[in-house]
Amino acid sequence: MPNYGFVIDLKKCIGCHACTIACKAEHDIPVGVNRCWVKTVEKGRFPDAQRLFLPVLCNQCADAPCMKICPTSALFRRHDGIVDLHGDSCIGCKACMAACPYDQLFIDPNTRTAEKCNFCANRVENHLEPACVSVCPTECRIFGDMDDPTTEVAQIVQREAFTVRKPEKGTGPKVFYLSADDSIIQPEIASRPFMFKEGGVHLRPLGSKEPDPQSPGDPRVDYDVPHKKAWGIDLVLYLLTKGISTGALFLGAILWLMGDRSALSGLAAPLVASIFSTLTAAVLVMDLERPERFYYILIRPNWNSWMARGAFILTAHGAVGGLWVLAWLLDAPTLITGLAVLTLPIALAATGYTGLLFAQGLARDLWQGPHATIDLIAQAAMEGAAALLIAALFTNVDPWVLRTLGWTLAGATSLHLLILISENLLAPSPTLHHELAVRAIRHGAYARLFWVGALGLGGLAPLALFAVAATTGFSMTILIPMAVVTLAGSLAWEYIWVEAGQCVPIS
Amino acid sequence: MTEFRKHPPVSDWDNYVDFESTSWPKKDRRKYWIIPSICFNCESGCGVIAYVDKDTLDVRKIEGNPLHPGSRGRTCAKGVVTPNQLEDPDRILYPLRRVGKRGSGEWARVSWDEVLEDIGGRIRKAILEDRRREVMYHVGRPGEDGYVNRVLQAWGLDGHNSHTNVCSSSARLAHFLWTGADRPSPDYANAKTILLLSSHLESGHYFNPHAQRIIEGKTKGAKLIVMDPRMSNTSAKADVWMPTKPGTEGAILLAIGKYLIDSGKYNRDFVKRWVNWDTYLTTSRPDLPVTFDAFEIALKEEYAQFTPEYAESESGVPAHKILEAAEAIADAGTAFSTHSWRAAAAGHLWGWQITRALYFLVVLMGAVGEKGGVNLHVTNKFVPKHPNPPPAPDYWNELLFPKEFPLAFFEMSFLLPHFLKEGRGKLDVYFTRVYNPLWTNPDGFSWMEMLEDESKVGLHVALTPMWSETAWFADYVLPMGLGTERHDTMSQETHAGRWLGFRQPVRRVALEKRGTPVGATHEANPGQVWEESEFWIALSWKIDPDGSLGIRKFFESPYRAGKQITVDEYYGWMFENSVPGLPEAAKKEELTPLQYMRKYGVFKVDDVAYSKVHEQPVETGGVEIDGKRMTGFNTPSRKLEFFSPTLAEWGWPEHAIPRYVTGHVYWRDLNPAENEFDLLPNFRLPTLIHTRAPVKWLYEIAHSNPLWIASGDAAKLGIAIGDLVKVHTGIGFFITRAWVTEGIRPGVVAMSHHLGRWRLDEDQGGARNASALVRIARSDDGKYEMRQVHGTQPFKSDDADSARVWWTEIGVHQNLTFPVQPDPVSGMHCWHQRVRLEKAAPDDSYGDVMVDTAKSHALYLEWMAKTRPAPGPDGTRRPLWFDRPLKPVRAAYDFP
Ligand code: SF4
Ligand code: SF4
Ligand code: SF4
Repeated sequence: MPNYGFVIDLKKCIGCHACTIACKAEHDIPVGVNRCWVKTVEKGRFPDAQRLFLPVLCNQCADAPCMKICPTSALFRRHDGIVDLHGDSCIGCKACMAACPYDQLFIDPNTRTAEKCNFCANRVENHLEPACVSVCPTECRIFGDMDDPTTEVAQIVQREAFTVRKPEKGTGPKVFYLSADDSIIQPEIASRPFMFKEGGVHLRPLGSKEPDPQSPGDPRVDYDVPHKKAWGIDLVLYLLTKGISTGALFLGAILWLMGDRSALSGLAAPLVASIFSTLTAAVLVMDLERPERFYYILIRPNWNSWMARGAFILTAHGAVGGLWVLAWLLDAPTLITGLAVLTLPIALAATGYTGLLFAQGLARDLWQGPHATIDLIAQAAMEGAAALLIAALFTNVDPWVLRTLGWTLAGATSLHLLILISENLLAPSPTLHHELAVRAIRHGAYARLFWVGALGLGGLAPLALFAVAATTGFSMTILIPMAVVTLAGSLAWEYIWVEAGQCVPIS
Repeated sequence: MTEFRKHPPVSDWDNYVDFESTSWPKKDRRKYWIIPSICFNCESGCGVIAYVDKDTLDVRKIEGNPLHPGSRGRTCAKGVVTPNQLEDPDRILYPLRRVGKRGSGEWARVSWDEVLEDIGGRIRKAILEDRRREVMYHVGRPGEDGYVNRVLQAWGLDGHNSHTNVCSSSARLAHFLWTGADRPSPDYANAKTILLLSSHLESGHYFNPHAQRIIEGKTKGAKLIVMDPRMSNTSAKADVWMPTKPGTEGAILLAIGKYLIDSGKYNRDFVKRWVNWDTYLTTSRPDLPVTFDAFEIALKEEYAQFTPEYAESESGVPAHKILEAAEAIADAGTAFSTHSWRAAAAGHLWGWQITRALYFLVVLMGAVGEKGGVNLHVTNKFVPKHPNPPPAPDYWNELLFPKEFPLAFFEMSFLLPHFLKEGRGKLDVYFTRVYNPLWTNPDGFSWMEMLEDESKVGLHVALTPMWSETAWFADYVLPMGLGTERHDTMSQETHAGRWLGFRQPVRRVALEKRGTPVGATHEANPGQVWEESEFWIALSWKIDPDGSLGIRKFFESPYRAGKQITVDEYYGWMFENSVPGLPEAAKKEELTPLQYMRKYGVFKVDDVAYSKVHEQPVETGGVEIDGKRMTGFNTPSRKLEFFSPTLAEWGWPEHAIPRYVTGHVYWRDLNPAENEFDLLPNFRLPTLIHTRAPVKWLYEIAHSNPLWIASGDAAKLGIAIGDLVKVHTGIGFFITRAWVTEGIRPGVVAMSHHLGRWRLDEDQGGARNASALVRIARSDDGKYEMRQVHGTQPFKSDDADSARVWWTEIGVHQNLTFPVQPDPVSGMHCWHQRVRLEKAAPDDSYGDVMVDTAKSHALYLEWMAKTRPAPGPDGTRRPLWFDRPLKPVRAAYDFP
């Protein structure tokens, strides 16, 4: 079986963009998106300034994170090593975009499904070189079977020193560069201005380094294509609604098992959980580019994908919540007890899997933090407690229940706050990418939201209110504001987590 | 191991089954004819193959033609976008006639019959009334070879106007003065040292073929030296980048020359045999004996001043770099390739002296016609004969070659508005053909004024596939075919070999393959798009319907007496009768020569061709070298003319030899305290080297042309990246954004040439994805003000991509603010501008342009005062040995 790869000799590339456009022509790629392109970087002081060119395309990774995360196995590996895509199976969840560390996936606005370079598999099957290879005036792109020692690709890789993009991601890229300069192949190094030398900048990643006028010779990107991020406000809402849903059900179960038989744990908790898990499903479906295909995830799941696994877990979670409401309406407390026991692992899984899902978003270093799952649980506890406290307005509950919820909220908030502080303010960044993201959080685009929203409203304010509540007998007049600010603060952090996570240029 | 090909093999071309890429990995199949043609998007003439869908007859994609010896199966980005052009929502599909005032933008569809009747009748009348000089054809990049020249000649006109004097005529003059051939043909692929004065790795005249071979040479170990004040992509690939102060290139080149002479590392034997040193000695150094040794001494004295240190003090390039380059050139021996086309030569007054100094190095190394050296283009470009050649015109068109410019290498095209303003003549019928002088030439508002004035231009016919600023001011806009919708032949000196390419309308060919006979190309083209070859034939028959003017006979079939010639017959005749080897090659495959060309799109005339013509022995004529009579060069002396008697005799004795002369924007004259800069406005991008293809995929990549300014200069002016700056020229100003960079020499600012397109109507008159909507205000005293209403915006069309246009700022039309600056010798427009910079004021906005055409006329007069008019020594208008398009009969050279 062949195993196709590319060598790109940057000594020969003249940055003419013929490859970019030949690719567009071959695959009829719409304006605004690209399977392959050529980034350019300027660096050095006059007269020793340099311009560097970097043609990029899909690496057909040996261990492809895009395939792993794809919930419907739309992304698949061909017998020749090429990672290809079944547009018909794609639901447009953009998880692959979050996973590819090389920015090689996009949503095709014509088909509204993911698209990526496939080494022109359609040509390869006709024994033709990929379009970008065939057009290249300088023949700097070489295509062939890496496992066949007689090919030029195999021989160059044998003989010469090469670089790949982000080897540290462990994906096994199969596009090998000769003479690549760090400042162009590592996307975080060069600064990104607000315009390019030949045109406007579209969708500039917010966390990019800005050029420093005091230091003119620093590497600076002077041409790049637009880069869309995978996820946006839908995913933020998903984090919130799911946190409320799982947190409420989990805490409801605990209260029920602790002996509370009020409508709060009996009905409000599962009702809140059901409503919010419905909302969760709704925002998830809405976020799909092909929402009408949402059920593919259940009928053709990829069991390696946390997106697929999560869908089942969420379904189970929703089912438990629904049954619980039913059980309350049928006045079947024993059944509720059973469901409450069942809830504990299911709600926990439904909360925590998101950490693993985001971690499969290998493109984004912020999401690789070791405490993501714990933090998600803490946030769900905060959000669930806050939701139940608000629900308590409409039910009669014993003071111990309020106390328990108050203490839970305070405890979870403290844990969340500790994690935020340690991960964003104290711990050294493991990578430059992470550092840029954290910089954007601390003093960049997300600073105000972080300091005021996430730390203030989502951390210090509820704790302060808790202190007051604890000393004044947990009155609702304090608990309700505490719940409200908690939810607002959580939302702020969830927004930052999603957006700042994706604010660093990855290609 | 699977062998991969770059393209489907020719054997599959008639029935190529491809997988449909858009539904992949479903294995839907589509059937194509693969039909070869020639790219129309620059002058390289690269071979392409079009995938013509057998069901829809649409051109699905364009690739390089693997059989083409120049482009070798590869194209540049501009080649690939041909389908974008074909499907552009703003292309013109029907002939239009203006109905309102000229330029008012009111158009009505008109039939081709009416068009031909009207224009044909008008030209007939002009010919009958002996007003032939009022008919003019003005072309940009022709993309064809000799066809229209023949048409004009058949009409008896000296009426060919071109864009060459805003492009390459300065460099051409220099090559011509040396060798009698106006273009070099470097053999980059085999060179040891390559010295470029133009950015041939991104926008050279033969970009794709040359870029291939420069990198090929470099990969084989050649050293690449690039002179450019700006870090071009070409400079970026250089082993030695010499960012000169603009216009000082000559100092470095002569310093290198001096090094070669002083060190004895030049090709003494070659120079002794082939340079007209004796003329130089007798004319300039009567004190010395006429021996080569004396010449060597004289040369050393002549260029004594040009030490590397002196060159450094002039150019800003360190002496050690100059020496490094000089040594690399010395090491290369005859494998030394150079090129200069536009760049510095096109930038400066006396720019042709820069190219002459460059070619001096080629001569010193004896690299002329050598492997790895520089051929004459005549060796590598194949020029076929056209059927039935008409006689030369019998008069001289003063509007094209006025007496002030006896040595102008091409027509003084860009001065036309000023000539008409001065009452030197008028035009009755003016064709602009895929050419946009109003936009491309300097001083565009004077063009606009001229085109609006019906007393100066009686009928303006724009032949163009797309809207252009110029076409907006036409009376007829006639849609002509794009690269896959027309017939032409092309050949260029892309390398050491010769080929002839055939452009063809691929749908027409496909229809014929399908068995549908096609009478004329427009039947196969979309809408009512014609091809020019057929247009000129039809028009010629309208001019002379009964043959009484003696014109029709040139447009009759060589095979069917008295019948109108068809394109098949025209090119069929050419291929049968004037391409050596083609009939035989065709016969071998049992094809006619025309069928052969339709099948392959190209014919390789020679594999390897080096210009050793000068060494070929001849019986008579030629020149005697070491006692042997040889062909020699095409100069009067038959030698390489270091000393140009022509220049000396025609009023420029001080320029008779290659010299370093500073230009009209010399850095020592600029006043930094006044924020004066040298504006380099003529660099180009690999995706846009013309106004011809304003299409989505190219514009997505490059769409605006900010002002490059060095970081230090910007800091002094308090300008950051993206700030608006006001750039004052001699006749006005424009507002654009700053691109602050380390990639340019301090003191120089630069803007790329082909961006800043505009239109006057929201919905038509320009590509909406590539132009700004503008309003132009004009005062009675000739002051113009242009403001952008908006840049590009997404719009609705049949192409869903139109709604995805995301770029907004679309560049600034700098050329409007440039006065005409004709070089008094070459006639070339000297592009560099002395400008003053300031930060924009709050009420300035992006794209604002202000111009005073009264000032531009005054500056025109100042430049005209530099000329030294004809007659020459023999009382004529122009040296007889000088090339020119449509060379008239000898008698026309005399003043009446
Ligand atoms: S076509 Fe080749 S030379 Fe041109 S940008 Fe692409 S890789 Fe570089
Ligand atoms: S992870 Fe990215 S680079 Fe790797 S195979 Fe997937 S799309 Fe290609
Ligand atoms: S170099 Fe010129 S002729 Fe060749 S593909 Fe590009 S635009 Fe076409």
